[in-house]
Amino acid sequence: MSNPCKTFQENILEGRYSKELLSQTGELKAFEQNAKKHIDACPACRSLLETHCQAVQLGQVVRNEREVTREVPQFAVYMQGIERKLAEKQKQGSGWRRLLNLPMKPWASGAVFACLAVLLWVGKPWVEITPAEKLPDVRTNTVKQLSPKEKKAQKEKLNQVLQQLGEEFFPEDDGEENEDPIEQLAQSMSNAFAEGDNPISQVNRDVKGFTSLALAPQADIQTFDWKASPSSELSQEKSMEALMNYFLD
Amino acid sequence: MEACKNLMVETLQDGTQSLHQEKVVVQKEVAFRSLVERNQKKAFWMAYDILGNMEEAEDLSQDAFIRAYERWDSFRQESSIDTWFFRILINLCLSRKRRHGIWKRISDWLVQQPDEDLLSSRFLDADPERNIANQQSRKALEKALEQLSKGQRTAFVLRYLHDLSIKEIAEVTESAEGTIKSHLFRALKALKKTVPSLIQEEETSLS
Repeated sequence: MSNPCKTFQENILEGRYSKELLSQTGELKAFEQNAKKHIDACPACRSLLETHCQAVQLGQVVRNEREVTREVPQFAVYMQGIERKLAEKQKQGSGWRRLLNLPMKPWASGAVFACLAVLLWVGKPWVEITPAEKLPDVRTNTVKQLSPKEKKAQKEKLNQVLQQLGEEFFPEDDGEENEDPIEQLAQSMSNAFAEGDNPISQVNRDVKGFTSLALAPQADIQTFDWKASPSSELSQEKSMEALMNYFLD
Repeated sequence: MEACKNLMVETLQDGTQSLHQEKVVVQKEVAFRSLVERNQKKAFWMAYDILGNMEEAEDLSQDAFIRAYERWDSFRQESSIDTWFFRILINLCLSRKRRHGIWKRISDWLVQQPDEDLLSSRFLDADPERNIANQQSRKALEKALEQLSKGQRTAFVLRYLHDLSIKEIAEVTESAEGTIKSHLFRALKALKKTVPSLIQEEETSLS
């Protein structure tokens, strides 16, 4: 809306100008004379006035038509409808009860809350959410692609650590070759088998020997014969009981 | 003696209060019935013009009266009772339109609804020829109104179909007069092409 047109267009919308403004012969009021000059010269304002007048005419036609429309509900019937609706609304109450369309009964609230509680209790494991810290972080599980240089550096570092560990647990003998610790272990085991001594049964024997020691509290741990065979009569339960007694004493 | 006197005064005061309350209730009932009587038809057509649905309009106009009755005490007499009532009605219509907007679009898309409003007996006229013409013109008007936005439609309907002034529309819709003028200006611009054909149709139907 440009400034000179604004006032005229506002007046048009407010219905201050008559339809006669558009015709050449109609009688005009005093304040309409000035408007006529502008509207005759301005196509936008003229178009607006035309559309406004047509809309006013249309409105009159529609209103007249509605006046003669049949089947208007009688006032008494209409009032009865309102009163019935109002009574229903007051009976139903307000808020969530109306929302759920629940009856206004004394047990209604209790029943609804009981149902909700049961649902919540049944659905609890489903509802329960695992704490965020327990969830595996998918982002950190992604395999990082290392460059060949990085791979080499990592390998060297690993070798260094392994070497240090090897030196610590398997110290080198003077004048002897530094053997692989796994190989050493394999060698010792094969030697044991060759001598007819099963290293696994040896371990079992040691454990059982310990339980025998527990059964004999007076025995000296330092002088206890670890290779002696355990008494087979003792049940596992008795052994455990004896162990407990030993430690409690 | 003094206690007896006090008791009598209290009883009288209680009696006056209850009488006053009863008077207020009666006044409210009378005023409400008068409001319904005055605006029953207008409320229905106003709701219909905004919603474009017969059943919803009937239901909602009654709901508006009920809400007015419930909130009768909150009426502060800043405007006329009719304007206050229309404000309630328009707010209800607009909120209903907003709520059902998406669902209506989905249902319209899913099912091709028969045009129940055009077939409704409410609009049937004694003269069959005129009846058909009226239906056609109403259909054209409805189509024209569908082109408008919610604000433009409300402003147009209230201004031209219900003959409310811009000031009254502003009061009813709780908007500034400038906003209403802007809505009307845009609505008329949008309807510029449709309205002349509507007028012609209306004139032929009346002749």
